[in-house]
Amino acid sequence: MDSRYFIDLDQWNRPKVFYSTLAHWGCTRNEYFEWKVEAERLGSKKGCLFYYFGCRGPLTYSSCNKILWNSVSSKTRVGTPCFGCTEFDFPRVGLFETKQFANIPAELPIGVSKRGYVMLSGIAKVFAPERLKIED
Amino acid sequence: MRIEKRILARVEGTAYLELEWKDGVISDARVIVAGSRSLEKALEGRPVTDALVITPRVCGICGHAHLMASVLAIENALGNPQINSEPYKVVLSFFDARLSQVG
Repeated sequence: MDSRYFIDLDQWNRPKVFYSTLAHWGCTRNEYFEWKVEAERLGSKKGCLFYYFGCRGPLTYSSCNKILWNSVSSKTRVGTPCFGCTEFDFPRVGLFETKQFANIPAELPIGVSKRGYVMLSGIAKVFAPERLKIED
Repeated sequence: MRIEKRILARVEGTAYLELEWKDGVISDARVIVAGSRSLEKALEGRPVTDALVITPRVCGICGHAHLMASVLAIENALGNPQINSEPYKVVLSFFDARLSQVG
């Protein structure tokens, strides 16, 4: 058959066009994630939701932040954590909380080792720019 | 007089409407959803906030109504705390927008 009619699928039979990148891609809170500046409360316009509020952005394959909902917005852009609803394990128990183990998220971003995460986040926290920490 | 409309096409045939008439005026109206979707079971043993994510997903048309229902249920369980009315107005107008989209 003509190869134009084939849609590339991933291991869960999702079209790779939409499910080869993470919900984290294009998230406007990426800089907070990078420097480990966490949102202190829900509804905050600043801060990353990964550490306290159970955001699954770095663990979920979806294009929410890339093509956006109605080309307008996404969960993380309005301050709600990603719940990982495109993944096979949705819904997990405790959708608004990050399970922690010795102060480290029990599940780390896909492909990131525990050692790497601990080292990098420690350094990032120490050197995080002040402008990211100021709450409006 | 009692009229039952068995199928509401917009609710995918799962709900029906019951009307009671008295002297040409509707005296009572009920929308009945007899089939169970067992959503309450799915919520057992979970933190309350999980309901805000799971209940809206029961229906593609009226997700927002389910969300409002779980918000009210949670508030009720917490003894109806005083909530700032401004954000509530936004929530309710969003609810109306949703209704006009469906209707």
